[in-house]
Amino acid sequence: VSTRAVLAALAEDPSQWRHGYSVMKETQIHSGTLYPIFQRLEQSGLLESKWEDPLTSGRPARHLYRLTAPGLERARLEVARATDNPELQIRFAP
Amino acid sequence: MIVGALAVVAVIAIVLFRRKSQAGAETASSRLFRALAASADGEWPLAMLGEHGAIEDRHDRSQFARGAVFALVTQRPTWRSPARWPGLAVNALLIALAMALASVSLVHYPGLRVGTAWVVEVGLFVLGLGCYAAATLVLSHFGTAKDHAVGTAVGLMTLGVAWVAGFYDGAPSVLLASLVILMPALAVLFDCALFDERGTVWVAGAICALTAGLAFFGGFVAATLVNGGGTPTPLLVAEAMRSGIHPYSAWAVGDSLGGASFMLVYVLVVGGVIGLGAGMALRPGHTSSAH
Repeated sequence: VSTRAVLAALAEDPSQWRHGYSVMKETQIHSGTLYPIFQRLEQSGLLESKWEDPLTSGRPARHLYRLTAPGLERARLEVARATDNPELQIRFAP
Repeated sequence: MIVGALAVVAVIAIVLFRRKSQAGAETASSRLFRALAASADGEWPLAMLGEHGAIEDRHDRSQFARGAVFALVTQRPTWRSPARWPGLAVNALLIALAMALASVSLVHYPGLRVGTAWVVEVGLFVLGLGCYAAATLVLSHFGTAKDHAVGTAVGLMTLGVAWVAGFYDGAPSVLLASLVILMPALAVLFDCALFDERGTVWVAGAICALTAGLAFFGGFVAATLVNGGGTPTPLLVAEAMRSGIHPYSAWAVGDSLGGASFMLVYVLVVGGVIGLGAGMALRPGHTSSAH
């Protein structure tokens, strides 16, 4: 369910690169769950990531995430499945 | 033990003071996360580090750090770092040795199996070894191959110390055994001096604490089994008689198992805290030196 929520959040605007924290806020998923999901999705080729441009503030650079074409396809599939399944709809709003 | 406890308190106080003065109002979970992420493998811990640094709200940042620490500690073991296999293999062998020695003792000395308390003790012992195995796997995600090599090598030196302590009774043996808690700090100093691995040096101390605890058990119990408990003094014989365990050698082996089991906890907790404290104190102010 958490993976579906992450896919759905990233599929809202697939062309946009997102920070992990914004996905975390939107999905209400714990950072301890979210980053392993990012890692798995990236290893499966469903997610791509890049480092943001170096900042002058001195803090470490952040990762940006975006769905790949297969990832977007998978996200749409998962959203459709959740729409058809009332139980999933309660836990996961597409 | 009092010296050990005082040393732990002193190290914690020094580390807390040092960290507080460096990091201002940063929470403990954030500090722990930054130390772990900077020492971890792969890109995603660094990604979390970057995200953590960008969160402005202190409470959110702390909550993020707690989740991130959980993710780092519970990540699945990866076998992509062959340089760390020797360390994992050494601890696996030492755990197997500990189980074998405990089994041989229980089989060879039926006097140790009187009543039901021994079943609980064996259960706790197996649980303890399970914790050692889990901690070894968790640590395999952190640090460099050199940290692992130094930690394991220094920890293995405990085998010799434990053998001597197990073979000879008396105050010098007790003192020798007590000094084992300093092994992790020794590993940290070696790691710093030899490789200047300051960013991840705490890993050497933590691995050394695990290896030293297991090695002490192996060396100490093996020595007792080999010499059959040594030459009994009237005082020891009287103590064995009071315990109700016969013959004397069974009592001596049981006593050795109890002492070594205590050391499994003592070396890990006290030695581990001293090693980690030394590692954290020697870390540089920034967190990116590991990569």
